[in-house]
Amino acid sequence: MKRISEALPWLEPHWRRLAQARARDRLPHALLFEGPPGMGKRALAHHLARALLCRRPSANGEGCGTCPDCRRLYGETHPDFLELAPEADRPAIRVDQVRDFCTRLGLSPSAAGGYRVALIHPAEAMNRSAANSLLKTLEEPMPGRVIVLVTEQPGALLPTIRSRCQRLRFLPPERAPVAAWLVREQGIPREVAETLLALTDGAPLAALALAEEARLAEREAVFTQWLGVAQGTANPFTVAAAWAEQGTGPLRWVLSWLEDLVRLAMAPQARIKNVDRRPILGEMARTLAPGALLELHGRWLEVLRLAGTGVNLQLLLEALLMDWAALRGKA
Amino acid sequence: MKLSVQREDLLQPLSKILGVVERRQTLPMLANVLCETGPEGLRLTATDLEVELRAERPLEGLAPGALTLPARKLHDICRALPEESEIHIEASEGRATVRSGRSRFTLSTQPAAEFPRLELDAGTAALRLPVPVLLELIERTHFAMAHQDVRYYLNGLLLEILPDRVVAVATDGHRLALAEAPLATGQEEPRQVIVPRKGVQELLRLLGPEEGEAHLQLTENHIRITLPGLQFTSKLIDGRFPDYRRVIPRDNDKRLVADRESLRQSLGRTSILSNEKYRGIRLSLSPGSLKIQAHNPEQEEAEEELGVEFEGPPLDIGFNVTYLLDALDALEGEKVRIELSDPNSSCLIRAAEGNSAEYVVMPMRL
Repeated sequence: MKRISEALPWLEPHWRRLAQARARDRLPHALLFEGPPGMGKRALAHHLARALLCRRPSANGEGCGTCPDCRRLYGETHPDFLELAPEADRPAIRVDQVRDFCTRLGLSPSAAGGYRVALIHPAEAMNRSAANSLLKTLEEPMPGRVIVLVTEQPGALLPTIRSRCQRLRFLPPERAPVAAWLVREQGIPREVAETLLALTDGAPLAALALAEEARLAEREAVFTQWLGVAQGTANPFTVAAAWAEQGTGPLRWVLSWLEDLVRLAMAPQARIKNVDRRPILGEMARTLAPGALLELHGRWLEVLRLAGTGVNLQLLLEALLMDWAALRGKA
Repeated sequence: MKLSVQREDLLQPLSKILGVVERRQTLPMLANVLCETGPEGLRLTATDLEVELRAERPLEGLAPGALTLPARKLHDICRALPEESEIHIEASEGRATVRSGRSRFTLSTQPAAEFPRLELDAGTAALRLPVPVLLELIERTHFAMAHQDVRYYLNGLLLEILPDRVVAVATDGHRLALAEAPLATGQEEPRQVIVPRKGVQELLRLLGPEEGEAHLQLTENHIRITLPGLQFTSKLIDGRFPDYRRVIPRDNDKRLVADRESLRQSLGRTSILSNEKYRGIRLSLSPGSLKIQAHNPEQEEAEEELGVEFEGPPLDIGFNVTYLLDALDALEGEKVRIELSDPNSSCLIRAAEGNSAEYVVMPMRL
């Protein structure tokens, strides 16, 4: 198994805190991991679970990765690791799930004196009654139980939940070491690594996911199409039809360019996300009014919001792209 | 691996253990049943990581081997095949083929070596008891277990092993059921374990009316019960069960003796017009007679009178009728005895003769 220094090096300080707490027998029974997506919150929770359930932990307290317990954790069949998440096709964690979870948490560990580790994610998916039925369990923990709640929106949790947990914040780490890690461990070229981190606000695992899902190629294609519509070389209807089949991916890319355009239209030296597109975006921004761009951005955002509700995405995209072509035509 | 077996030899053990396989299982491995063959015969294992069930079938001439198959699909296929047909199973490269006559099914399979098993920890205490005794202990108490109560230690059945008897207790905080079986257990020290609700329900399905012996093993964290051809292993609830002895009223001085079946029927009829949510009924006792009344929010009313043995001053008391009916259903014997004290104290229900089971029900304020 990979050590924390190889797998999630930017989380080493967090890990040291947890490992030291455990060594002193002061590990909190309820932990709240909070921070933006792609920071490795869940990965660290799994790492902690392996450390607590491993039969032969290493000297610094990490799981060995080869004992039966570690192997079962990888196979997701460890009887002392519980996961509470929304059921498939449902947005929320229901109160029944939480009640069942609390009962299961109360079952005995497999080994005498062993731990039972639970992961709740996303914690904000618990509605009010679900969260309330967890309070008692969070408040009066049974010995040997560790519950990790993971959330991207700590503000969406009940204050009564937050106050019962030890909070651990996951903030975007310094870019340079993470870029070096992407180059060293993942074999990504340096310039690409920097672009990836800029696009994901410095969230390491989000950057990695972008690279692995070949999303950069999608971005390239979408950008060409988007530019083509503006320059009158691509047919907005053909493009809309192609994008509608790709889900919300193209929409999100265009939104990030529009955001950068707004920034550049207001201040040509502004810090932007799409660093690799600065020349062309800067050129476009010179001829566009910030007010018109903001309005356009709002309309694209509205379509993104509607996208999951069963609307005809293609029709909406056609309207947006025609407006986009008209705006550029005027300029 | 290859396996040829008659339909019934596969279907019968499979249906015994199928209940533990969750219907909506997200992990493919847990939706599978482990089939192992050897000189002793066929052995099937299913688990949800909390309860593990194993069924064995002595068969001759089977080569040693192991594979896993989707449990519910295999069960549905076997059930749909004609009776006494011969089934051939063959596994290779992540696929398993099930053939019978002119039917052929290709199923997914998972590596048998990774099938999770509940490993028993040390500290075993063991005892034997007849299957009917175990079945009776559970049948007379299980309905009083709590369901998804935040007091997680109530969501199961307490088994207490004493030197001279085994006691089963279940309670949801409103009522309590207790059953005892006198038995030389060979245990010097009293031992308490709480079996989780799901385990109890699966155990009830396994325990048939047939004679035989159950072999109980208790460890720090598990209970294992071995029955003829079957094995049940479950995690325990890691908590302390409340001291049930303090809950059982021993000094109730007002005694009512009634015909169990007539009382049950009267309560059943009256309950039709009780509040659907709270299920309250009023019992009015006077010498020699019991009046049962119920009414609901629509102002509909039911009233019955029943001749009973009762002495002493009149008494009015309210109960949740479901709890009374559960107790009367679980009891045996022609006559039932109910011991009461006052309208704010719990009552004790038991058979008029014999003393194997007792039920405590808290009253309701009406």
